[in-house]
Amino acid sequence: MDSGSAFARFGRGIRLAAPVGLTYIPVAFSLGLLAVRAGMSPWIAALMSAIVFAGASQFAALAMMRAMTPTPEIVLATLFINLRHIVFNLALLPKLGIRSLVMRTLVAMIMTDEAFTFGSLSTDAGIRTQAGMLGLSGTLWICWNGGTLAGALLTPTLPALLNDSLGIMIYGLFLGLLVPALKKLPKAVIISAAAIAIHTVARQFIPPGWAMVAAILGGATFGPLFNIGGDTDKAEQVANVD
Amino acid sequence: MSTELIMVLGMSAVTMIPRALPALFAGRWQPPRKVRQWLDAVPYAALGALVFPGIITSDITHWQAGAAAGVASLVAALLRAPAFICGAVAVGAAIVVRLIS
Repeated sequence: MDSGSAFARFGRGIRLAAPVGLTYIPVAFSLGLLAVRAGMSPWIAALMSAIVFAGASQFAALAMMRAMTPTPEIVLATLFINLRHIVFNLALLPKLGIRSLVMRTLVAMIMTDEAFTFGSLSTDAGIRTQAGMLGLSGTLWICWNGGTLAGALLTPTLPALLNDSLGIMIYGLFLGLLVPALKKLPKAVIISAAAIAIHTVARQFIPPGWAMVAAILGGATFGPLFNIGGDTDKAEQVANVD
Repeated sequence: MSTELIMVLGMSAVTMIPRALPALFAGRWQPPRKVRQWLDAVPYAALGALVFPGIITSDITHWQAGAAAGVASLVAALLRAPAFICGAVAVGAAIVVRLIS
């Protein structure tokens, strides 16, 4: 396939990202609201979206902040939640043919679940280049950051009853992420159930932050134990159906 | 430096360093299947543990608000509502329970 000029591939990356980026905005907006409610300044919330750029772990950090979890446990949980990006980058980076180490690192650092799936699956091979991935991931980054900042700055303008009830939103968002993922990989319900069981029991004996880390590490071992997932090709086929 | 700033910088370091590591390998090395399965399982474990029991203890005075929010957003998610709609449904259910209890 003719991949076209770098400028054209950058533009096609933006167009591929646009519908996904639009779905990022309301989620990022909720993140901004919740961050300010958890006691963050709007600028720290915006900084988090800019330099962490990993949705599930950012929401997890806010939920743990609400539970008064100390910083080291929050950072450790973040490490484990985002560790899967190593697998994405090991799979996708070699296909991009980026010669410059600096550019390869930049593309790796702004890789998300969505950029990986769409980048891997696009029928347009021009996306799987430096310019294509910069257009794709760059657009997603801008939507995520714009949404976060808007939500963070608008929080003080909300009515009190709504504002008091917003903390619960994070759990609705988690369910809204977990349920579709479980529909794609139903066996993974074992992993989530095991993590819930470990978390509930461990909280009785150890501080909540460590109970969360134990639940993540212990629950995840049920993946290899029950031979669930781990097949990148199969995951791509499933994602392709959507 | 504020605690939040330290937390955000720490989160960035532990996210960005693992993301960037594969950029150093030019080859196509893949971790063993069992390791990939473990890494893939982490988000399922994390989301499960984050929802429960946190949702019940989220509102100390009205545990019913958390339970109603959980059921409502679970139904919304099963009906394929996008994540932010599930979040809005949870807030709506919690407000209703607080108004009537």
